[in-house]
This record gives sequence, structure tokens and C-alpha cells, in this order.
Amino acid sequence: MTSYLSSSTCSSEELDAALQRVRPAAWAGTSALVERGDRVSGRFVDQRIIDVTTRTGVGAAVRCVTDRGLLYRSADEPRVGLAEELLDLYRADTRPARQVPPAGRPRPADVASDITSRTLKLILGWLREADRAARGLDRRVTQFVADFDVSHRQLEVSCDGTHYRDDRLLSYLTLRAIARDGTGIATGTYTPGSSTGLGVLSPEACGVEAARRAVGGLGARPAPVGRLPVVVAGGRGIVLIHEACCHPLEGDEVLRGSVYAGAVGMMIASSVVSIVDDATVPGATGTYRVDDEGTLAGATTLVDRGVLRGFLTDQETAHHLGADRTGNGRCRSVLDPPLPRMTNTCLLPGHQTRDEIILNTGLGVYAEHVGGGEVIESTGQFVFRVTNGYMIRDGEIAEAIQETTIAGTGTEVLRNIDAVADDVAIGAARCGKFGQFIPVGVVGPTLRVSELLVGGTS
Amino acid sequence: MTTIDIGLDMEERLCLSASLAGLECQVWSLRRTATEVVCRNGRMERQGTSSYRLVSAGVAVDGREGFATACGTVDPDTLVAAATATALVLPPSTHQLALPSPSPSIRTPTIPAPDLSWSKPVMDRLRTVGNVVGKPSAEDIELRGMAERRSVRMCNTAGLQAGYISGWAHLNARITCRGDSVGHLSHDFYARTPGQVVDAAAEELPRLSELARVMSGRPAPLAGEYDVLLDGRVATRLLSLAGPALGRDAVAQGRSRFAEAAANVPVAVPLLSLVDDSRDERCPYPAPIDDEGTATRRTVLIADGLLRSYLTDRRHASRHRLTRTASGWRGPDGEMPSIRPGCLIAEVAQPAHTVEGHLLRNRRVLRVVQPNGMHISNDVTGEFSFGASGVLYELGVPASSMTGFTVAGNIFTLLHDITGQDGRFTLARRAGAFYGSPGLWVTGVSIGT
Repeated sequence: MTSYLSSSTCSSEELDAALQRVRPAAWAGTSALVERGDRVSGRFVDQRIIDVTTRTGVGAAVRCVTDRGLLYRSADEPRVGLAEELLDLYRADTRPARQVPPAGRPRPADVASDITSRTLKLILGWLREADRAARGLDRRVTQFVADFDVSHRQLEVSCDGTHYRDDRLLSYLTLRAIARDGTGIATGTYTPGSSTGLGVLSPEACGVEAARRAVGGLGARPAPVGRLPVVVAGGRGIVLIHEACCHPLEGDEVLRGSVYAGAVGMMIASSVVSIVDDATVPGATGTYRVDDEGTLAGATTLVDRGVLRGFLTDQETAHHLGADRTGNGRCRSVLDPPLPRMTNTCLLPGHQTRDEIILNTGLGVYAEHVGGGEVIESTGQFVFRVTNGYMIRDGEIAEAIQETTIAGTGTEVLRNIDAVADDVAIGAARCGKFGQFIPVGVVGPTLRVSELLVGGTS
Repeated sequence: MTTIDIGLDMEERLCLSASLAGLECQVWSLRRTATEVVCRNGRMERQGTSSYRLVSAGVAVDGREGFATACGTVDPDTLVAAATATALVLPPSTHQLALPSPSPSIRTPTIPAPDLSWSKPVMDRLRTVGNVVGKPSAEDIELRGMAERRSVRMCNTAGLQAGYISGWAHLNARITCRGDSVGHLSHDFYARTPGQVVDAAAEELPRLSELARVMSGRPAPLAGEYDVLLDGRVATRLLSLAGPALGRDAVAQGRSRFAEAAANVPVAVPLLSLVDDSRDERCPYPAPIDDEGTATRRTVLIADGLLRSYLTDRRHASRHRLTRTASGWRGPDGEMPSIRPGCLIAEVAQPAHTVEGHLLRNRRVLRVVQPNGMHISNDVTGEFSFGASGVLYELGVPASSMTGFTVAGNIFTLLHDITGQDGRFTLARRAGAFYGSPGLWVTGVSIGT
């Protein structure tokens, strides 16, 4: 069989067949992945693209799940010999005994200069429009910087005799407007993304949003220090749920004894909280058809009205947990090993409006944009960065506050979410784990946590 | 169309293809083999090897530069065409696009090829080091090791031929200890070989395990006065916030707070110097040239608190008539070179002053041991605020665990508020660069509880 990826030497089906031929009885599962990818990334500053790299590549990986853990072999050339090399790895007492083999039959990498040119012109036009809109909002916007990353991954993946193909588009932008006023400097960050192409994002709206946040930060006062109610805007703000709740629900963390290990069926959150990991949300950056190990993507209910219902698994952790595979085996590229990862983290909507929640908050913080976060899975301690925030005073949004970190413990936060609005928004983010950064979606409405530690300086 | 393998002569074939098209061209290639091992409590959990080759062509077209990269095999003509197409969307350069010439200064010095294999003795030692049986102080130790062998080659149409083989080993230790609360520590070891990195872990893990045990104690409220020690794990990450501001590109683009400071203006406390040096013996990845072919060197950025220079790559050195500091490095996918440090080291001109020694002064000490979420701080404004855990020392001994607090401030202000160092040098890798620093005694940070 010839691979549909024109530059591949063999298909994932052929790799899978080779794996089955050499497979010892002790292998609990196998998977094979062949990938061809194109990517354009770079930086836009001073109304020009100043850095840009186009990249194309092919690769293949074979993996097996054994009682000794996951073994994998990946290379930049799809060839059936990888299966034998994986067997070598399994048989050897120490790894790797084998040197990297010389390259085999040469193949073109299909660098298409016309596609490069068209894609770059599209990106440049988009960014210039966003830049114009940002600077046009306020004369204090002195700089507009954008990091762009547009990619197309074509995958063939086989798992124990089942074969799938997937096409994944990704447009991910980090827009930063910089505003200056006298000696003051402030940045406004906005990170739009899409899995259906750059064209669905409005450059004008995105540019204005980044600029509005930068200008709003110019007069910002130092953020307070202390425990306060925090209202988090929907979309990107769902990073709070991603960090506080869902990382410790990834299968490998459960196996390490995360704070939620053994808690299925228990009430871990307030009853207004329902969370689903859904890889099928149209347009979201964590969306795909099949995961990188050949499990069909779907929606996994994690928390249902406060009750923990399940975990996120890949092939290896499903085996060790004795659980179903949830289609969350993901890798940054074919050259990296799979890990159980989130796709689109969705907080289901509640019945209040955003305005009602703010009106019912006497003194607190409104986190309009969240820059990112991190969690220690074993303790549940997490932080997330509020890049654009405001004080809430007497039920109204008041003065802007400088960037700050908000910290807490996931188990407490989930119990302390006391209001969920109905204004669902879709946000884009990148999530890093053991050095692998992958796109994820964060989907949901405005929510309020009754108490969180605000780590300001005032 | 001629299709050839990215073998040893691929670089020359690409230059030839560019020459035939009348283009100046520089080619960079990387052959990388990375071997990962994961060992938890003495038991291997994951092993794998990944090998690939990247080749990148940079061409000069009508005063513009374009870059294209391929992983795997590639046709030289199409890669040059892609680079050319990229160049045409970029603005014309305002500086000369001179490619490095084959002068003696960029002839590749010889460095010994490191042994980057996880041999059986090293693996056995890794299992032993990570085995918690009989070590009640740490309940769970996960060791994630990675050894990366890199073979880099460069050539250009001006006749440059350069290359070297290098690499590094990394071991991330995650220690979790459960007591009245959960103590958790994540520490990164870097060295030039897997054997060295495992040796370093064997020496340090008992101390880290003990620290995790203390951190698993009952947390106490923080009140009153105390001095603050930022462990090397924290200090290196803060240093990585200042790194981008020392790039000449950030100054030119208005992204650097140092842009407002003239040369020789105090930007830090007089006892602090910042030096970038990929050849420093503490740097785990010795590279004789950067990814543009410039010979690496020691660059003093801040000397005794005074701003001395910025990091430059070929483009910015040419544009601003500065000396090249060999700071043009590529990203993990062979991206166009951009300015970043090779190995930025903080040197504090003061005798080491450990937390144990400090206690003789009968002062309480908050030792910030573990940062959380520091990567999301702002490298333009310098504002940081991160979650943390640590230990409070009182009357000469660790008195209580401190968890769930925040540390906030501004890195550019903090550079003026360093009062000493603890002599425990730590390395971190952030955004493709190594950062090294001892633990730092500081004032001027805001602790939130």
C-alpha cells in the first residue's frame, strides 16, 4: 500500500503490519504514526515580518506498551525497519544499543514555494490590518508585535489493525500591543487561534482587543495582595479549570498519585461545575478526529455537577489504570512520545449572566485575560497569570490592576466556584508538559471563585 | 528535480543550487539523536529514541533574506525556492547582507565528542539513585533523563565550512513527599554526559529529599520580619526574564527596559555581573560557533552593576555596527536564527553565604524553594508574580513548611536589590538558552499569603 502522504516511504498500515509481525506476546498494545507537516512561523514587528521560517518534514514513530512501560522509536524517515528497532529496544537490557541507521531511499520533502508565498502573503496582510487597527485605537499604542504559527499536519495512524487519517490545521497568534505614556509602559496580550484557518479570525477585532488591553493597563495600579473573590472571564479564562482541575486528571498523573487519584464518584467540586474534555468542538485549537495513537476522538465527561466521573487516558495509562482509552494520547510531533493530554477543556454554562455575577460581587478582582498557568499535580497547587485585570468594587468593574498571579489549590478552587454564567466563549492556548507544547482549547463562560490568593504588590 | 539525501554533502549541494540561481546562500544542518529514559522509584517506566536531521537554507535575494527548513530528506532546488519565496515577503534589509567568510576566526575549534549514551552502568546507577526503598525521607522520586547528541554543519556560498559535534544530558528529578501536607520539588540537572548528570543527582538528591520532607510538614502562617533567599531554581528563572531585554533586537524594537539606559549606566547592584559564555566550563552544551557561524566568545553584559553591552546576531551587529557576540541561535525546529544567550551566568562578587550560615545572625529566613508559574511573567515590563513553596527557618533550624504563597516584583528593580548569594550554582534551560545562577539573597519582593 502506498501512503497518501506523498513524501512518505511507507504507510502507517505497513508499519503496523511490521509491528504485528515482530510483536512478542508481552506487548499489551502498539501504535504506528506517520506524519507530514508544513509550518510557517515567525514574528511581525514595526508593521513588517522580520523573522519567518517555513518548515516541512516527514516522520514516523512506532510504540509499544509493555509491563516495563512505554517504549518508542521515532525517526525522520518512515520505514518498516523501525518495528525491528523497537523490538531491539525491548529486548536489550539497556537502550539504545543500536546506532542511528543511515538514511535510506531519498524522498523529496515537497517544499512548495507557491504555497509558502501565498500563505505568507495571507499572514502579512492579516497582521498589517491588525496592526493598523491596534495603532488606530489610541496614539499611545507605540508598538504591535505578533508571533505567528500556522501549520498543517497530515497524519496516518494505526493501532492494532485499525487505521485512520487526520488533517489538522492550526493558526495560533500571540498579539502584543505595547502602550507608553510618559514613563509608563504596559502590554496588552491577546492570543486568538483556530483549527479551521486564519480567515475565520477578524484582524481588526483582534488588533483592537490587544490595543484596548494595553491602553487599559497604562493607568493600572499595583494589584492587591490577599484572598479575594475572583471573577474570571470565559474563553481563555478557562485556563483556570485547565490548570486547577484537569492536569491532575491526566492518566499519568493519576498513576503518580495526583490529588484526584481514587476519587471517581466523589464530589470534588461545587454542584454548578460540569467539565468535559471535548476534542470535537468545531474550530477550537484542541480539536482533532483521531488522537496520535489511533483512538477516535470524542468527549469525555470529567466532572458532572461536581462529581468526578473519569480521567483522561492514552494507550499506556489506560492499560495501567484498567480504564477505557479516551483518545487523549497526544504528541507535539511524530518525533515525540505520546502523553495523556487535554484537548478542549469545556466548562458547561450556568444560568446567570456575567453582569449578574459582577453585580453580586462586592469587592474582588475581575480577570479579563489570562496569560497562562501551571499546576503541581501532586499537591494541586496552581497559579495563573492575569495579564489584564480590574478591581471590582460595589458590584462594578473599577480601576485596572497591573499584571499579577492568582494562586490556589485545585481542590479548594473547584469547591469554591460559586457562580457560572451563560456567556460561553472559545479561547486558544498552548500547553506544555515535559517539554512538549501542543495547542489546546479552553471553552466556557465567566465564572466566579469565592476566594483565591491574589499575588500583587500592594 | 534532483533529490538527494541530507548526507554529509547536502550542505554543499544546497549552496551549489543557490549559486546556480545566482543567490548568496548559507546552509545549516543538524543531525540530532535524543534518548529518553524515565525511572520512577528505581523502576524504568519509559525509554525511547528519536533521531532526525534538519537542514535549513538562508538565501539573500535583492537585499532581502529568506529561510526555509526541512526535516528529513529534501530536494535542494525546492528548498532554495521556498527560502527565496520567503525572502520576497520580507522588507529589504537596511544593512549589508554579508555572509560569514571563511576567516580563521570562524574555523571550527575541536571539542571532544561527548559520550551521550545511557550505558548499562549509567542506567543501573540511575535506578539505584531513584530507588526510594529504604529512604523514608522521600516517598516518590521520578527521574526523567534525556541525552541529546547534536552534529551541526554549516557552509555558505562564500566558502565557509564549519561544524562540530556536541550535546548535553538533562535529568529532571521530581520528588514528592507526603506528610501533614505534600512536599514537592522539581530540580533540573544538566551536564555534558548522562554519567555526569546521574553523578550530580546522586550527590544532590539526599539533600533535595530532606528538603521535600521538611516541606511536607504542617504549613504555618507567615508573619513578622524575615530575610528572603531565592534558591538557584528560582533565581535562574528570574534571570531568564532579564535575558531577552539584553538582546539588541529587543532594544531596537522598544521591548527592552535597558533601552532607556545608556552604556555604563548602573542597571544592577554593584556586586552583580551578567556574562554570556557558551564556552564556560559550567555550560553543559559547549558550542564553538553559534548557528550563524560566528565563533562563540565571552560577552560581559553587565559588569559590577554597569550595563556594558548587548547580545547581537549577524543582522543586528551589521545594522548597528556592533561586534558580533555569537548570539544567533535557532529554535528547536531550525527556525531562523534570533538573538538569545548561549549560557547566561550571574556572577555575584561576594563570598557565599548559605542559609545555615545566615542563621548565625539570628534572623528568620524565608527560603523560596519551588517556583510555580514563573514562565508566564512579563519579559517586557519585567513584572513577575509567581506561586511558590518553601521553608521558614527559625532559630537555626527549618521551622515550618511554607506553601501556596506568591512572590511578586519587577526583575529590573530586583537587580538592584540583590544582597548576596548562597554559593549553590544551579542551571536552567529556558527558551533555548541556558541560565546559571547561585541562590540569591534579595530584598524588595512582595510575599503574598
